[in-house]
Amino acid sequence: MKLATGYWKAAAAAVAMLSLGLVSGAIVAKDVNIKVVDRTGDKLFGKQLEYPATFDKVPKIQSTTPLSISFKAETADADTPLRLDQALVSFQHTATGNEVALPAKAVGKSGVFKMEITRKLFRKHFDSAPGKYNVALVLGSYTEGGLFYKLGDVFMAESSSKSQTSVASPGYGPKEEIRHRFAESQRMPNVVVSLVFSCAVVVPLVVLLAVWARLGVNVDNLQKEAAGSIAFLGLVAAYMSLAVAYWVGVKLFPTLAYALVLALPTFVTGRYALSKRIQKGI
Amino acid sequence: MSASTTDILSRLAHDYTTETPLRLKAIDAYMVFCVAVGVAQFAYCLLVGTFPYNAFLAGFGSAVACFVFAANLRIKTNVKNAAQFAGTPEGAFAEFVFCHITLHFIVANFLG
Repeated sequence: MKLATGYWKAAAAAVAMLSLGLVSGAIVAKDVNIKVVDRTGDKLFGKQLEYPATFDKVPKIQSTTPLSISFKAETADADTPLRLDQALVSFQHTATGNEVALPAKAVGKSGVFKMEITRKLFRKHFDSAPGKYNVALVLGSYTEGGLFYKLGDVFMAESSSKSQTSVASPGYGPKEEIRHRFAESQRMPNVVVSLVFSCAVVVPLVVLLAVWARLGVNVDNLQKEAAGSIAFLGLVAAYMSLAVAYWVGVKLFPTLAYALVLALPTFVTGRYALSKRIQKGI
Repeated sequence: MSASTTDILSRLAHDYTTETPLRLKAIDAYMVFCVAVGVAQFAYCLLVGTFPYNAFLAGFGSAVACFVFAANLRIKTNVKNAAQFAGTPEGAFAEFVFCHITLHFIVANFLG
């Protein structure tokens, strides 16, 4: 026998609280009426129950033969109409264990509640999952506790219409196992190929330095205007370092702030160093 | 036909060696370096694939942009073009530095 799920657990918790004396009284369902009527209004099935009796016959329910359940909730000791905080009629599929809980609405202030499976509700919840269902009342009150009252079984027939546009009822049973699909790792090239092309990128730099040395490129003129030139080149190197730091981990806005801080000194030193070179004719 | 081509090429090399200032030769060597780095990266991309594509674009784009900046610096620092450009070679170098700083921040952002 499957354990209660969803709302059934809430009712079980309410009953447990009652047994611990945390709430007073107890809920009793009286004048429980179960009816199945034809589209013409003829009664196909009817039963009146008193807690904890159940009905034996399994009526067949279709979208055209709505099922209605009405009951009256009272407290056991005071025998007075009760305002329920939770009034549900639970339908649990005997084969799959999926549960559908439909609310029972209060009719007036006399403590009577009624639930009716209209054609729309039937198509929404039972059209795609025909079969035998356990029917139970799940009642709850914050002050009076809870009641779980198994009424009996009903059979939800498969719809005669061919349309399958109804939405499948949300099942509360176990769902199929989720199998994650992770992105496949990219196929990386051979290490030798990577090293060869790394060398192919570095070798031109070595060749460039060698060619510059062969041509006679030098930094002797830096000495003629050392301070400004070194400061300017140092700040340019700082900018390159900031770019590397941004690549490695520094966020965008702090990087922009640092760049802004370096901007003015770089401009000033660069203007000074380059203008001095022009003046000295370097 | 081939003799005239050889003559043209040898004359070109001789004139380049004798008449080109040292500064322009240094810039030319830098431009050849940029081309070589770009070709190496492109060859790697053709051989191995584009993954990671953003890194390839950043590297290859950097090489191309450096070549373009160096070409501009060469044009502006060439004495023969002084009549067309009002600025000084130092000013052209300052523009070169500014463009490189901007380029490297963009490359660092795209490198991933």
